[in-house]
Amino acid sequence: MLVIRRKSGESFFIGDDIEVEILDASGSQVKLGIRAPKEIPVVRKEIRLVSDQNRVAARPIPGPRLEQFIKSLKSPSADPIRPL
Amino acid sequence: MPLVQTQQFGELQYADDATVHFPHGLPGFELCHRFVFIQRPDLAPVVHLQSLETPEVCFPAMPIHAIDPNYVPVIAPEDEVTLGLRPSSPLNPAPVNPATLALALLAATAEGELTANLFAPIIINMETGTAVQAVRMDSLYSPHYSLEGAACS
Repeated sequence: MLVIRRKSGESFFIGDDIEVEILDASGSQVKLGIRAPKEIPVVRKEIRLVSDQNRVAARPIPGPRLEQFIKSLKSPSADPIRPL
Repeated sequence: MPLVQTQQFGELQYADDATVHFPHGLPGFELCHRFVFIQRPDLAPVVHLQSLETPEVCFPAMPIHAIDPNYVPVIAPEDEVTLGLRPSSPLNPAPVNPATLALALLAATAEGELTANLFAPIIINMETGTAVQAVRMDSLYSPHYSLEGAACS
């Protein structure tokens, strides 16, 4: 992994078209500004993680596997839709 | 009653008040905004969120507190705005709104293990039918929480 040190107001390029500027760095947070072509998606890592996991979740769970899981629950709720 | 075509359950009728609206879609499914709850008594407490726009998109889910009774949801300010909830204060980062429901999406791994996404629960304002997938900024909970041997209440 390339490691570079930058201060607030400084920036760096990724390739010719993507510029990342350090807008603010205080405490444990860094605020970045990113200039990139529209066709380059810029996504937070946790969103990418959830996106990947959602694609897995959208695949049907095999019926027998789901039924086996439901049977394994000790006292399944009759009304799953209840407030917190 | 309107009808919805589903890949898993065939053609179903649904009531308008059973629909849920995700204004921003879900990560990976940004064009899916409208879903309907499918609740079958034989599958309780698992429910399915069926997309009204894309028949093949259907998420199994279950109430997050049935998986972890001590689960503390954290809703980002922008998600609170989307949900129409009163913004929380630093002293109350996890508002418990009686009209709010938290669901965890379920998934099966390639090996057949069932997991729940506790990292990004579905939060629904049941009064308005508005929903978001609230991605946590901390790492307290896993997106692949194993349900094998889970003791659900």
